[in-house]
Amino acid sequence: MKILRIYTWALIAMLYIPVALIVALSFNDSKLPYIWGGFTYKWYLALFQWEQAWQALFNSFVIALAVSLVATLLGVFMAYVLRSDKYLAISQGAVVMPEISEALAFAAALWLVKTYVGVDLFGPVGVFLAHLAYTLPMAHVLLTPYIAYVGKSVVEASRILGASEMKTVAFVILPILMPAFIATFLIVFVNSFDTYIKTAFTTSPGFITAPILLWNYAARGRGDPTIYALATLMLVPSIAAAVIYFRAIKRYSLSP
Amino acid sequence: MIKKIALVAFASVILLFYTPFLAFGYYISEGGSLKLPSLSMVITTFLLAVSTAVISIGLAYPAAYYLAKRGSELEFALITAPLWVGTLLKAYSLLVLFAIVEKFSGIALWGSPLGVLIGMVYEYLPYALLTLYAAIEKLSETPVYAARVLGASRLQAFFRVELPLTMPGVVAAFILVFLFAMGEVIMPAVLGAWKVYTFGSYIWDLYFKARDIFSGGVLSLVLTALSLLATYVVVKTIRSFSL
Repeated sequence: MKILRIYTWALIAMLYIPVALIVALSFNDSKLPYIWGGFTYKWYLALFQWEQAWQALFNSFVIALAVSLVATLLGVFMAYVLRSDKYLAISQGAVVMPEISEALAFAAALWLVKTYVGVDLFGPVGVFLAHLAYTLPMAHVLLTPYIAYVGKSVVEASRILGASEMKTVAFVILPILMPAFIATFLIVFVNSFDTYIKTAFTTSPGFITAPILLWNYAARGRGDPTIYALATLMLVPSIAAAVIYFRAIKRYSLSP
Repeated sequence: MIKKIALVAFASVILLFYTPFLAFGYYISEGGSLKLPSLSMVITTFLLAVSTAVISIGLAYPAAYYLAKRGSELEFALITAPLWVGTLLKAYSLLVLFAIVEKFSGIALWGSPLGVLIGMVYEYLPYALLTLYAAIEKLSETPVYAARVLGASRLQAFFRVELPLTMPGVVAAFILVFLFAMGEVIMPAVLGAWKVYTFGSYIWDLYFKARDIFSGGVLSLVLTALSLLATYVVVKTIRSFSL
């Protein structure tokens, strides 16, 4: 067991080294990644003056917020209505579809709409819809096990006492599900914030998100300290979400 | 009301996955020609995906075993946290790491299949680990005690009793990682410098360079079908071995 413990910690270290490196290099005064030139904030200042980067981060944030709100709400509705296993199998299948075919399916759909209906949805709307389409099955799958926590009697009691279906979901089911709701919200948020492929297939040249900007450098193999700073900022939602998530889950497991 | 909203949302998600079929119908009616990928590309993709799955399971199993038996909450949180970091960010940080490794040791990982493999294992290891963890955690201690009492050594008890019992978890982890890895685009593009060319990159180029969305759509269906078929075959083989 002791060897296994050391092994596990070594594995954890391996998982963190590359990401920690990017964070460290974003504070490096030298432009070359293998020379340490001292501590500096100047790349963040450079990033601050780079309008496009802020626009991209802002766009990512707004899209992720909208997507996670809608996907989680619809996910609760779907999990509530489609509780039986036969629906779960279908939506679970949708989650495991290979990345690229899903994104391309969406691009094809948008393209058909553009050609036959004449509405050009490429851009923010397309990105929003694409992210929603892929996070919705995810939210559904994540929330379904927790719906079982809400006893049938509670729902029936609320209905008999005169609450509408909408009210039942909003004031009975949602509060009970809050930790699961928050956890799902965070997972969807981070996924949407970090997704590159779905965005690339559905965006227009004028609408840039943070992963798109990062890709422009990464795909050409270019290292640039300002981009390290951007990457570090993109880590912030992930870290925050991970911390909140583990707290929410912990509280949930203590008082089911 | 809620039922209607949910059903509409559900129906549109399901419908969306049939859009490539629509594109396919359109494609046939227009008499377009399908630009097939080369066989070597398909083989590269397949080999990469299989080795990613095998290596991540191999690396993750001991850690999952430890976490399921003795692991603390902190260790569990630390090992699953990388799941929250986006693929592109991971790829970019590995790119920088490779540059440093090349500077100091002279080993060029960027643009080599090995580099891509490292990237894909890095990305999918936590997925394999979580799946294996779930399988090992469910394992009861009784069969192991029985084996030990009957004279098996600790290693024998593991290989003859525990490992076969966790085989479903291994199969599940394999399917998960393999399916994800078959459709991988980001790692081959960023770490393979477009030199390691996979099925995903090919579809990518069809869409972004040739603007041939229908070939792309049809091929993405082919990719899905191929991955599912391969998963089926591999799972059958693993099952027959374990029994």
